[in-house]
Amino acid sequence: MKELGPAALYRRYDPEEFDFETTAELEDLTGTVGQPRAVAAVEFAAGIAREGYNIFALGAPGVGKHSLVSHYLEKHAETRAVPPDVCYVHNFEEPDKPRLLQLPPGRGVDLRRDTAKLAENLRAALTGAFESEEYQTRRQVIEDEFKERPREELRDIEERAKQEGLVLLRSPVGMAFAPTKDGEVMSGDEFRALPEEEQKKIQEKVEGYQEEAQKALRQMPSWDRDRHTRVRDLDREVVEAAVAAPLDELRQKYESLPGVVAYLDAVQHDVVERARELVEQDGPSGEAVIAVGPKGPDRKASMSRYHVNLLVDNRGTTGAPVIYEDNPTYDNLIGRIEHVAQFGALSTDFNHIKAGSLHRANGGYIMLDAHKLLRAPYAWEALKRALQSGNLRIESLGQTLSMMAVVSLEPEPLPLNVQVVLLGEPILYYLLSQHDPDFEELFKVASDFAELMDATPENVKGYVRLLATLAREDNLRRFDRSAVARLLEYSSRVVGDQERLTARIGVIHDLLREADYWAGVNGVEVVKAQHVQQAIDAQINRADRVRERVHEQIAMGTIMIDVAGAKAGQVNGLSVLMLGNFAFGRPSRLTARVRLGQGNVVDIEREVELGGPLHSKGVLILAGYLGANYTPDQPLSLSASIVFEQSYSGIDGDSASAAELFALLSAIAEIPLKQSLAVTGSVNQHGEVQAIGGVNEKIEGFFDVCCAKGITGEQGVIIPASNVRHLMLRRDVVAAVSSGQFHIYPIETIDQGLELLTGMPTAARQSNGEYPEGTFNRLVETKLLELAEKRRAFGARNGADKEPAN
Amino acid sequence: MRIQRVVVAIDASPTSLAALEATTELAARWDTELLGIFVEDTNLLRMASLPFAREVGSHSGAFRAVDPQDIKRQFRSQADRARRALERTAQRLRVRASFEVVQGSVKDELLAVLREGDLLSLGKGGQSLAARLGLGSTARAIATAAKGCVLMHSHVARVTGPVTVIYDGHRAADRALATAVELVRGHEARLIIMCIAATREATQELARTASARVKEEGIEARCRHLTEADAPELVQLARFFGTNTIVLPANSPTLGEQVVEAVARDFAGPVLVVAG
Repeated sequence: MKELGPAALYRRYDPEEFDFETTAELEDLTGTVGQPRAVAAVEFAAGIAREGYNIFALGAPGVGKHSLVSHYLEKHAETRAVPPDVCYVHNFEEPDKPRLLQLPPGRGVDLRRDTAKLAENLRAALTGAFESEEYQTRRQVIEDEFKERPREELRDIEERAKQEGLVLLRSPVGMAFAPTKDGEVMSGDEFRALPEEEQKKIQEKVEGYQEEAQKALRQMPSWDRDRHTRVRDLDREVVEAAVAAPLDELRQKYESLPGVVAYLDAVQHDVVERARELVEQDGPSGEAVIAVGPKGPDRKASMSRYHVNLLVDNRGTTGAPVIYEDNPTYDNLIGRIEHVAQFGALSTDFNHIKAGSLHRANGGYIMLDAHKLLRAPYAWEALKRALQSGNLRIESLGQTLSMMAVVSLEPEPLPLNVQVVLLGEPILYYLLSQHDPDFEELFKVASDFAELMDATPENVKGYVRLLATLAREDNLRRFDRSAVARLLEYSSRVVGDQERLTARIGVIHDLLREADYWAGVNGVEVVKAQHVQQAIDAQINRADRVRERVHEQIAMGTIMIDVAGAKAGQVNGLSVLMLGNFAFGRPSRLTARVRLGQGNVVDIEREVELGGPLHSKGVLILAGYLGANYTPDQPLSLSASIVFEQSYSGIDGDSASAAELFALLSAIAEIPLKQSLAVTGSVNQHGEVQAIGGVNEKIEGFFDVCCAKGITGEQGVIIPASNVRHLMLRRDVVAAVSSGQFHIYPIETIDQGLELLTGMPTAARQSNGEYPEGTFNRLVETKLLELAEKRRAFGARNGADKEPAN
Repeated sequence: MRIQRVVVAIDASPTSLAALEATTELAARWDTELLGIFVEDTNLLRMASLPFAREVGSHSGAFRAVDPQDIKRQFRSQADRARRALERTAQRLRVRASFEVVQGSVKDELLAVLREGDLLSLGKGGQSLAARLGLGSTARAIATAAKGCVLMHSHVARVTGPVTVIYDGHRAADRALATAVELVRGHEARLIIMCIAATREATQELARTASARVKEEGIEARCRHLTEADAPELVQLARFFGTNTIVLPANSPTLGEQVVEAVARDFAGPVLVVAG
């Protein structure tokens, strides 16, 4: 079997092939590299810009979703119009439903300034109007007139009563008439002493005056109403004259904006209606004064009701906004209504409405991290509601959930025209597609980011420019071409493929920074390959404590691995351990034992629930291969057990199935296997060896163990031939192969592996249906037939009917 | 003018209670004794004994039959509330206070209690005692008869500053000026003197005299000159200066009964009528 030469073990990038010395010579990458599918999706969605064509950018962390999406969105945003400024103003008819005003960009801030000034001027104008001598005099005339009226009425009644010998007495709760005698009120006895005729006369007179007094008193409320009307009319007249000029000036300034003019008309009407309240209640700071009445705090009108709450100021903005909301909570997305505590109660008005990021992004784009969005309570629901309704409605969570009974507002909703881009891992996209019926309607465009890209010359060129751009953006040192070549090789190693590069730029970006650091530590201005290597080594060193410990235990014999000699029913399997982002290979001893039985292959790992379903599947395939390949006409009459020795944690995957088969066959044939070779690869029922993952780590793991236990020159690893393109091995491994100290054998079939491990030929069945003499397969077949015979004999002794079906 | 004793007529109406608070403050300021007095008006008792006795509610205008027992119960209840209010206020402001209930004609009984140098305090406005008695005229009569002063309180009852005093150079006006000085002393309140005389020269002369007099007491005053005692003008001027309290001479030939009556009625703050 031909082993692999060093050239096949590593894709080397030759620095000499680059047409630059250092990355400083390279221009910045303006577009992207290696993500044509994702780019096309973003461009499509941004171009179509229709309802529901929101984007879900899915991809692994670090593939550059954020930078790519924002780059293309910003490009599109430049060509779009600047959205209007967004303001909320007081609704004078329904104060709890603030009005929305949208103004051309930059006019919002003007209006806010103008209205603040107006409020200031109004205070002075109203105070002046009410303090003017003209007003005071006219008001006094009205007051005097109405004050005199009841008094005169009662005085008249009192006078006339007096003429008739009666007196008007005022009690704490009212008034009464009584007859007098010698200037004193007549007592009951004195009254009764009078002739009946006179008594009657007096009583009639008293009752007459009582009724007159009653009439007069009952007129008082209507007089009071008249007085109020007269005073209000006067107030209106004076206030209208005082406020007309400043408001006319503003109406003229904003005449092209009918919404603003209508608002100013409403302001004028309100000022006239509430002038007295405004002057009397407004505190010096313009804040409303709170009067605490028997029913709790009563918020009086204040000048702040004429202010403009500018939520979105697009002054100086160019193009449409592209917003990234880093913390997409419910409030941060849709805005909130703040409350202030006054006398123990929470109150609010339109001035306390705060914008959310959707307000700022309206007319443009908003980018959100899907994971963060889904984790923030009710944020996802709120976003969907806004997108579905096409309106942005600010509601507090308490209101939405009907949990709070605080007085709140219902601001007029803002028509929403925003394209949302969710950034997240693929699993989130698939979960949402499956479980959220709204998702597909709202996010019609998936921008799928690849985790790797083909190492075509064009992509490599773009990749190198990307490295140069990242280095420049981070103010890193220049990288020379040897360093760039090493970075590309590392990128291939990350994806475990000679023909591909990783698209998880984040990983390479980290390496750039770390290589720059090591160049700095070494005091050089240009980062070279050795600094990149230093960074890689340091990364491994930081993470490989466990690997060292495992290899140490193997070297000490605590974990038993043979790397020399030959043993039947025993082979070196290879597994990969993942610790965080660091993976390393670890050889495991795989053993198999057989005895007479009913054709069952026992996976001990599964029996003790340490093996996963994929591992069990691999073991069951072995039984299939064994029966069909060697004893197609006989029942498989063995009982075999297979075990990963000294494995105390879970194991899964079928990458050890080839090794398990070798161990099993060796145990059946009782032919020893070379312990200097380790095996990885999965097997199908036809004995073909299939590709597995982590091939580099596995080879390196066995190599390290061999080095620790002593390199003999015989050692090596058997791998599936289809894994050859994935080889990006460590330099020391490649060097050992070059010098013939270590060997990598690619195999396609189990037979090829058996020949390598046993040194015996295998050969296919001959035309007579038998395996040739002296071959390994013949031995296995013979052994299985013997077992079948023994079993038949055993069955005959113990009851022929107990023949099991295989 | 040194106030010897403060007498407050209480009837448990809101203005009367406001008057009690403000009056107790004055007693504390001047360190004088305070006497609360509640008069059971015999005229009301007589009226209630009439077979057809009924009263008209001052707000509702509704008729209500009354009898002497009702009135007595009302008196008892009111007197009780008045006493408690007086005790509470006096204790809080650390003033020596006593309380008396008398029966008779209000005016007669108040006159019987008052001594020279007393200040009588009454609530004014609405159904207050002062309003029932006829405001200014009664105050004037009581003040004159008792040779003391009568203070009429409104709802806004605290006697602070600025104080406006009407000065016409007569004896009563001198005492009014002296009382006004007492009111502003130690209070850092402004004093406005409205000098009234027939001619401009005469008012200037009055202003000189009055200014010199208050200056002796270490107080700066501002003088206004009036050649006519017109009540509305007096009230308007007082408002213009932001006056809290107006001090008037009770029996001055310059100010007729009607002027005192009108000022007491139309000025919203406390009005103090001082006898000559």
